[in-house]
Amino acid sequence: MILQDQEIDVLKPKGEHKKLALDHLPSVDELPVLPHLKKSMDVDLAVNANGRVYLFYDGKIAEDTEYALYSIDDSSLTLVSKNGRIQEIGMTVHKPMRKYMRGGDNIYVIEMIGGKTPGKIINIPMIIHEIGL
Amino acid sequence: MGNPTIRDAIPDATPMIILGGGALTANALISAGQRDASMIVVEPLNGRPSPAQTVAEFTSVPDPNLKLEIAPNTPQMAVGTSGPRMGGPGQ
Repeated sequence: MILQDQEIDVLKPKGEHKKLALDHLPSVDELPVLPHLKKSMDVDLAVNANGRVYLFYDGKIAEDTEYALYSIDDSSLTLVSKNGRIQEIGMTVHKPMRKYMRGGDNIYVIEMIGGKTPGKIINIPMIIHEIGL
Repeated sequence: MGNPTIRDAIPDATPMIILGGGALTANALISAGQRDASMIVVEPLNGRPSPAQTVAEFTSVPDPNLKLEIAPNTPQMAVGTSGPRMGGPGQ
C-alpha cells in the first residue's frame, strides 16, 4: 500500500494509516542509503573457521534483505534490500576476519530478540567485491 | 523449504571470530547448543582480537560472594637508608 503525501502524517496518525505512516520509508529514489545498522541497534558480525558468516542483530531491519555485499577494498559489509536500498553495518571488517570472510558465499542474518532469543533467520547470498585498491 | 532454524545455522562448535560486543553471538551459540564453541572477539574500533574463550567463559559472571580482602598492614624493613655512602664524590 502506497500512501499519498497528504496521508502521511506522523504527528497525528489516524486509523489504519497509523502504523503505515509511522513505518513509512521514503522511496528508494528519495532515500537510497539508510544510516548504518550499528547506529540503531546492537550488531555482531561473526565468521567461523569454515567460512560460515553470520550477522546477528537486535532490532528491526527496515526492509527485507535480498543479499549482502562484502567489499574487500573498503573492508565493509552492506545489506541490499529487495527494493535496492543499501545499508552498511557500520563496522570495519578488520584483518583477523578477512581470511575467513573471503571463503564465504552466503550469510545468515539472525535476529536476536531482546539480545537473547533467536527470531527471524534468513540465509542470503554474500557477494564479494574486490578491485584491488 | 522454510526458514532455517538456529541449529541449522550453527550446526557445530567450529571456532568463531566476532566483530562487535559478542553477546548476541554468545546467546545464539547457547540457543544452538554450542556452548563449547571457542570465540575470539575483535574490538570494532581498533581491530584488536581478544584471547580465545569458550561461550561459557565469555558469559560467566563474577561470583557475587567473592570479596576482595585488603592484606594486613605489615611493617616493612627500611633498607639502605643509613650507613656510609659508597662510590659518591670525595671517596
